[in-house]
Amino acid sequence: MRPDLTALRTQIRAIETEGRPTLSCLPTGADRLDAALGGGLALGGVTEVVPAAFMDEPASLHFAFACLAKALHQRSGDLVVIEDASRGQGWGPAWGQLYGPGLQKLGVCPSRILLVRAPDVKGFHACVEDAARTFGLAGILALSGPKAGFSLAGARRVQLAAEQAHSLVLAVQGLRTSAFAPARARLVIASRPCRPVPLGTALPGLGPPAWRLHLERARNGARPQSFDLEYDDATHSLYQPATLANRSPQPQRLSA
Amino acid sequence: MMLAGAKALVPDICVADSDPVGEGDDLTALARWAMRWSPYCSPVKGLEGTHALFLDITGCAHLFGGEAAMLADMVIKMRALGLIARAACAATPGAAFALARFAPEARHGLSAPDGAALRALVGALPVEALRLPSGTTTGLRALGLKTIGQVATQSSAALARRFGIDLVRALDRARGLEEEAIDPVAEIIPRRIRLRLAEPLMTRHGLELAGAKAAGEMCTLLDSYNEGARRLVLNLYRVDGVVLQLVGGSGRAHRDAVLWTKVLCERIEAEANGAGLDLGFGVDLVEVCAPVVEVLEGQVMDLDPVAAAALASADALHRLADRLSARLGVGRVTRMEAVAHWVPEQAVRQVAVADRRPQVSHFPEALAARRPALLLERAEPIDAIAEVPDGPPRLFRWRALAFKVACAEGPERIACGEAHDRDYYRIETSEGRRFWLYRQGLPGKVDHPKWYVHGSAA
Repeated sequence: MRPDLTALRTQIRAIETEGRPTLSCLPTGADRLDAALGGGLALGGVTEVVPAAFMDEPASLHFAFACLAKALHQRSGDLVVIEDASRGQGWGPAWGQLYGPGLQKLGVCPSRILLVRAPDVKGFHACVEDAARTFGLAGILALSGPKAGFSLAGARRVQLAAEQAHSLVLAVQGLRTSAFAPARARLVIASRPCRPVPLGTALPGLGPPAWRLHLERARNGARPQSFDLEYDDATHSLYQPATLANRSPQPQRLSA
Repeated sequence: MMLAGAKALVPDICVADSDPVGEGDDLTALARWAMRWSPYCSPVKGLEGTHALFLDITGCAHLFGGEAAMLADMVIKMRALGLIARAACAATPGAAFALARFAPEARHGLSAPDGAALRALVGALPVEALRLPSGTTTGLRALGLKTIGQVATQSSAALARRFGIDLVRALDRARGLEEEAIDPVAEIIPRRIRLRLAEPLMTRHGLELAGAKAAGEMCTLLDSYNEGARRLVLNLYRVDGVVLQLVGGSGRAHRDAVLWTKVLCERIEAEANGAGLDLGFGVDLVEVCAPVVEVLEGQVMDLDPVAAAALASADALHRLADRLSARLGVGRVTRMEAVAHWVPEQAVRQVAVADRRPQVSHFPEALAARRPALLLERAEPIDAIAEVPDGPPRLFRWRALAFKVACAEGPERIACGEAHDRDYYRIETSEGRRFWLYRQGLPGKVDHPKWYVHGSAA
């Protein structure tokens, strides 16, 4: 190809993107985690979010929405939440339904959420694939129940669709859901006590939400490692609390 | 005749219990099917055992070649269903009812004249044609008033004194002097397109073609009014008097024929794969209705690339929502709507995207700050140890697991009526799990307040 043509193409691309580099990752705000993930959550790929224990399922969803708040803040378009409702209403009958005010608190604007409840596992897989193929969405959140794990081929199709449309797909799995094999990263989320806020009452108040993230597997070859994360809902970003403050709170004695 | 007597005459007579409710349902179904002639169609109400339908055919008759031809068509189509129908058409429902029941010509369909001629025609009919309780008609007959004409010669004041005002009103209605409102079985639909088919459709492919053609015509119709539809209803009138209904929805109002065709075809396919589409002996009338229409504002073609990209992505999202609504059903693709209600479980409503745009979707900031991300459908009772009289819980047991509370915020008091007032607390357990708990019943008013878990990820 003639060099002047290449130069012209580069110039046009620069005009089209207004000088912004094309994003291939969405930084979460926590520097070490972003470095380990190769820049942040993969755009054009599936990131798997898994609870460490059954009681951590709400925490894993909480974390996923914290990540998506960032995505909604930085990308245009809406967030599509696809629930596997094959076991009745909602993702986990054990945990209830998504609640708008609580999501708004995290920075996820409820008016930008499109909720899809798939009646069966087959429909759920088809919906996730269809949404992943759609251009211009801020993010896609797939909530799989225990029986709704993707087959190898199905997971691969979703991954290819996401790559094609450059979409951000978070697959929040139940504890017993089979793994999403081609995921760019597998994040295991456990609850972690927050840094309490002294209120002057008998019990301290709740600090910002905190999680322990274990990066179990990443496509870019990062070694498995753990991170302590907190979420700041003013800036919509995750961060690592300062090391000094990163001690677990002293066990409290119940007053008689 | 008593049943015993009937059995003595015909030993193998078939006996069935009377089922007024079932008959009423059948009559309503028949009324829906009769909407092929007019959208204003209703079963006659108010009198036990009256099996009749009212149709307001104003502006419809010419489509069937005039009133007489329309009535004949009704009688023939009803006979094909195995029903012996009598049909009459007159200036008021009351007159039409009287003629259909008691005029001999009604067997083939009777189109009655107006004014004095109508009064003369109705005057010859017996008083039973007035659609009154049997007590009143027996009373009239006891007085020697056997026909409507004879009753009409009496002074209305005297009739009203003796039999009540209902008789006078019924008399006016039957003689074409007073109008009567009918209550149609289906809501009135602003835009509709119908395809009358010479041969009944038997196959899914044929159905899809007919649906596509009707959707195309509907879009042309909407275009002429500068409107768009959020929902199209495909009604399939089967030859054997059953109406099948398929609903296709869209996330925004539009009149794109290609998209609507796709949505309706997906609906037909989903129905055929799911419960199965039973076409019976075929479908001879295909109707597409637009129950909800909106005036479409003109869209500016934006030349700014960023705005154009935003438009394109909104369009992609709408298409996705339409596809999913068509595949999963309209109620399964929703958005959240905020409702100004203080009871937490009623503060959010799910609105199907095909229904309407959510009116309010932002929650008040101060309220949102204290709410969990997941809300249990029903609060679950827990065993809790809390500070007396009104402190936060310190230990609780839920689903056979014990939790120790490390941090708590609250209470937020929500009044639900005396003994049901709730004090909500956001708490975090010593392992860092966050819940939203409440105490039902205020301390001092209730001896042993109960504790509940209502949400998680608070």
